[in-house]
Amino acid sequence: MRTKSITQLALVILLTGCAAIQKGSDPVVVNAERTTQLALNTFNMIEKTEYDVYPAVKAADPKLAANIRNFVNNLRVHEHEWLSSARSMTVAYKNNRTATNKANLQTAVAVLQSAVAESTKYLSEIDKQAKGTP
Amino acid sequence: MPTAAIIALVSALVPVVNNLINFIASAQSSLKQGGEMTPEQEAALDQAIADLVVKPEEWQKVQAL
Repeated sequence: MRTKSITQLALVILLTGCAAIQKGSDPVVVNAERTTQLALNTFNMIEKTEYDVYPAVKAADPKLAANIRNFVNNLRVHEHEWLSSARSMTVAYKNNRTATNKANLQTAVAVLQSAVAESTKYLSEIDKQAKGTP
Repeated sequence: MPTAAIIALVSALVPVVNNLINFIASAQSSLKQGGEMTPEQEAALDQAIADLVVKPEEWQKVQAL
């Protein structure tokens, strides 16, 4: 179940930008909104996961626990700024669909995608750690 | 790895897996929606982001672990 869940999560994240887009919708906006929502959910999940499993992971693998803690603490500091930036760029682009606004939005979305990918990596590390147990 | 650590890790992961399953279900549901967000959905997203600011007492709990 655990392995299936992590695999499904990775697939969902990979497919975020590929899912069908309704006729008349702007793919740039749809992708930005999907990514922002997915990033919010992912950040919430990894923060809760880190909080819940930190003592157990630390006992099993202190180095991994420290790496995850560093990443998640950095996320806690920056997530609001990254998500807010993506939202304000989305609104700016929707109001004025210029090449500059599009580029700014895509940069903000790329920051979120990178953080989501890193979150998935650490969730997989936790998963691998648990699979290594009998 | 010590047995106690293994038991603690596996026990800690049970609620995590449940969270993950719920998360995947909500993410899959949002993928099926192929259009731009409605104003209500945008407002809900903006509110959720605004609520993200970490409370000092939560930080203290994290640092104390």
